Amino acid sequence: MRTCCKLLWILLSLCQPSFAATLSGFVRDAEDGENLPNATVSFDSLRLGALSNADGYYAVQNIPAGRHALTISYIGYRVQRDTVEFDQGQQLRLDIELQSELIRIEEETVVTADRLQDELRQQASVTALQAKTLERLPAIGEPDLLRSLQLLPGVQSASDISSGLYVRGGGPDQTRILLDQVPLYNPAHAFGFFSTFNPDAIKDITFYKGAYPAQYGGNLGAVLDVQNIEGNRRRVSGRGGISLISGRLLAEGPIEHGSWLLAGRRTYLDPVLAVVRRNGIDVPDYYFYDFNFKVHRTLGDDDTMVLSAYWGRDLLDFALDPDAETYFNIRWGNRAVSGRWKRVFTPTLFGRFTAFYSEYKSDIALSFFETPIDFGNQVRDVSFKADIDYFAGSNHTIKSGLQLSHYAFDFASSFNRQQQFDLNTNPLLLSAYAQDDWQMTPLTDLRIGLRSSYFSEGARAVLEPRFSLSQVLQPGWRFKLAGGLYHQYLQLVTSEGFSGGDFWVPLDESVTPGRSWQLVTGLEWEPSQRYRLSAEAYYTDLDNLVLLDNDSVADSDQTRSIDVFKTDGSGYATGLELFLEKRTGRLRGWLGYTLGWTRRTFPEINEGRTFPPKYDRRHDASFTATYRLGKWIASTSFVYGTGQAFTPAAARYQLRDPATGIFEDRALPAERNSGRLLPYHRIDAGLRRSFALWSRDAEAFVQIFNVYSRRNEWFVQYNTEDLATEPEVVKMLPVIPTFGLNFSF
Amino acid sequence: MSMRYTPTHILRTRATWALLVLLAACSADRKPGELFGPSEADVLVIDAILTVDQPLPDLFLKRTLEPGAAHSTEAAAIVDAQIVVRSGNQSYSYAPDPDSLGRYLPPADAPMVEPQRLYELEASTPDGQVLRAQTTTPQRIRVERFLLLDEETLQVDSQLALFSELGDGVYEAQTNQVPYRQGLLEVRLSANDIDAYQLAIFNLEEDSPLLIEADFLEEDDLAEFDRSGASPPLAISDGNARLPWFGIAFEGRHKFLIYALDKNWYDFIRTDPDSDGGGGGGGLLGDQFQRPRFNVDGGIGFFASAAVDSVGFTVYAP
Repeated sequence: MRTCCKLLWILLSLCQPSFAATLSGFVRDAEDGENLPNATVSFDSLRLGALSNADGYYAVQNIPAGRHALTISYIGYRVQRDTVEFDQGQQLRLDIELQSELIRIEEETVVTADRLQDELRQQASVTALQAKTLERLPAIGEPDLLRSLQLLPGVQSASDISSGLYVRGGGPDQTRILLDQVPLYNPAHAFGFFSTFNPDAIKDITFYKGAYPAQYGGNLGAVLDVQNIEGNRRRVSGRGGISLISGRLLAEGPIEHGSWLLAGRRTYLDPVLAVVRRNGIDVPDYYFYDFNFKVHRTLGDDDTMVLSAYWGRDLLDFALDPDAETYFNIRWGNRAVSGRWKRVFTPTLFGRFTAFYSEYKSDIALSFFETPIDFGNQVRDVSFKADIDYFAGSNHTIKSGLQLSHYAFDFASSFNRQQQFDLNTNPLLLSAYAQDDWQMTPLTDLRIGLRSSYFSEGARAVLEPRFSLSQVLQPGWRFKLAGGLYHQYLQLVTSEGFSGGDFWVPLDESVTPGRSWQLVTGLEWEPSQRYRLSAEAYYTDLDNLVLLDNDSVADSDQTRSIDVFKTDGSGYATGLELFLEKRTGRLRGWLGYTLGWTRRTFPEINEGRTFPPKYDRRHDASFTATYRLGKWIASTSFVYGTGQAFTPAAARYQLRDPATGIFEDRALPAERNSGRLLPYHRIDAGLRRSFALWSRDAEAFVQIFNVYSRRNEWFVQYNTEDLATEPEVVKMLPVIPTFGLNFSF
Repeated sequence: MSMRYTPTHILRTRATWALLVLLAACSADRKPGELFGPSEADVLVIDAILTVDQPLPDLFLKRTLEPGAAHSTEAAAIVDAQIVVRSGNQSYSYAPDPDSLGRYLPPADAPMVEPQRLYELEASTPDGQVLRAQTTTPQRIRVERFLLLDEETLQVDSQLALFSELGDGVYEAQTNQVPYRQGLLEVRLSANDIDAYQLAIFNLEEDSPLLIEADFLEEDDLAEFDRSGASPPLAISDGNARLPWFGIAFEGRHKFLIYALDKNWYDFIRTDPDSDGGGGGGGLLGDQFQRPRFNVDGGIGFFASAAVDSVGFTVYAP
């Protein structure tokens, strides 16, 4: 392996012109030393430049000898300009520190990313968010990443209590969610009410709503790539917050040649619930917690080691009657540990080698009058991953990588002490990709890639081409086109209403894995640095979809995928998204609108006729705004969506229960999902005020969820026990005010 | 910091309040009728279960009503249909039951239902509607052993008597006196090739006391406990069927039936969204509210068959 690396290094080095100079290094935050990904480093007069990679590393090649003006910019940071003198063939290392704009709170800040490079960076369907953007949006209790993403066009939620992402007509399992490059299999706390991402620890968010590049794989729809901060390299500091629901604390600081980070969250509803229980009211005992840990150390100029860990757990115990052995317990959570070595092999060759372990475990144990029922699911993912970024000249950045994943799935259930289902599989997934980010002309950027994978269950090998094109048509206008082929081998078994205790199972040789073709095209207009307007159309063709087969026998011990799932599903999702963003000034925000259609067809569902899934929405609009005035920040968001699809009743009839012979009144379902709930709309609002607390920055906030307390419809159920069929609409959450305090030290 | 309110400010403030009032006025309540789909009233509904080794059964022919209509036997019953059941070369004409609307009786000389045989039904109404269905009866099943297991070790604690040994004497047999929630009741069936089973439990007493005591149950909850209940479809692939204690709520004699199902019965109960007798979350939890598989042409309902065996025992409070 070492010999191969050396050989690759030599070969790549040969490709470099020897007479031109090279500038390389890291772009960092001046205040805390954090690496800044996607920062622009450019020599405008030479029309040369580069973007920093995910680790903040950049390399600009083919720089002629002489003095040249250098510009470094990053959204939210002051532009830094400098002049650098190069000798012929010189390889200069320059680590750059940028000053955050946020220190100029009183001023009308201006986002100062270089526009041309910024345009090129904006590939189709990608959204790059910063944690600061999330912090300003109104939320229940505390900022939540997944709930904030639901405000983007093309992204929906299933309900007020769900943080699951329904992206462009795909279910939550069709979005790959990564934390520091490690997949999280269930990123939800509190049955989906909160996500597992600690808002204080988030540094950077890259969200591909579709047509994602070759460096990612394994899911049919989208990718959410979250990077946590690495820790303050300058001084020990921290921040935290308390709200009505939970408390959180983050501490970070320097070590020799590096930094550390420790963050934790925990809900503290359980003492309150215990008091309620002592007063004779049956309520469950519930809490969740999570921890993030990271230590980061540089070894010389060229090597960096990062060790990170995540640990999160939800625990719900509902002991209805211990004497009668009647209880309901659920536990679920993720654990992830990763070690990463990053190395600058040459100024233009950057390597990242990662080993990680990610585990998701859920256990549901319930007992009803001494009849125990147990479900258990565990997914263990041990992976080794190598990624190489090669800055091949000023026009090409070649990314390639290899990943070997070993999964261990265990899914077991028992009823009344009888084992019913015990699935144990240990598939291997080997993936490799190569991708070229090619700046064809100063106005044209093309990303072309190929990903291949081999899945041991069924010995399936696939090749997945991907591409993305961005063309500046004239100043301020750009055209985008992207597409690709995607496959999915792992399947989430979940409900659409809640998220908790979900199960993951692999698809074996009996079922062909899901496949999607995606095509996205768009037009962006940026009349000034202040505003950006984009229109994006998408079409996704889906095939080999599966759905959990609820119609099998209850004590099934079948362990093949074809026995567990309804198979041979197909479908499509298409739509148009409009997005208007105001990015600068005291008043910031966005307005988004989606016109969409989603359809599914399964031979065994709806008598084989095509139907809209529950989350098919014709219209979906969102608006967010934050307004800063001195020490005050006011924020609001508004969402509107076509009502979710549901299956109405078309008739009532009476039949005997065949086993007991007792007459029962029934409702006859109409065409699947042929009805619509009322449109969903809601306004949230928040107000923050910063102040000094013991000479430290602090912030008090008030948030109001659902300001006008619209009781949006959640689902319909039909009660046929009375004389008439009585439809009952179960409503979602009313107005919920929360308040709290954030602090730093 | 002082704020100066200009007409623009005032206009904006008023507009914001007006918008909030307008949105709040957008009621999320609506009339029940708005929640129904296009009506499928007046569809024929057949309700007939054939049991192996028992005479051809009574059956019911009714029609569907408007989804929001109050239930009415008079409105639903079809009293003047022609109904024939055929098996091989034989056909049996059913006659309306004058004492029960919508009920039809087999001929007096109707034979016993045979295992592994095809039965076809045809019902026609004076207005020209025709309903057809068929069932192939399953093979016979037999309970070989009825056991009480230790709930921890799952070893056999005792063997209970079968109907084939004592007839109705099983309810008085010492072996079949079972203390409530002690041990696991298990039935072992003869090996056979059945796709699915359904279990049903009947308390044969009319007013025996409730055995369930739980702090979390209110009086209303206790009043809703049924003296009978049925399981979802089960494979029972190892031939051992365990009776869950939550199926038993009352003291006294109990009959535990094991049905071996034909395709129609199995298809119906595994796809029925409200086999518990009500509810059905329209659109929630994976869209469970879906039309059952009826396997009936020209209507809905079931014309199904099963083979059955049973055991009996008496539950007492320990």
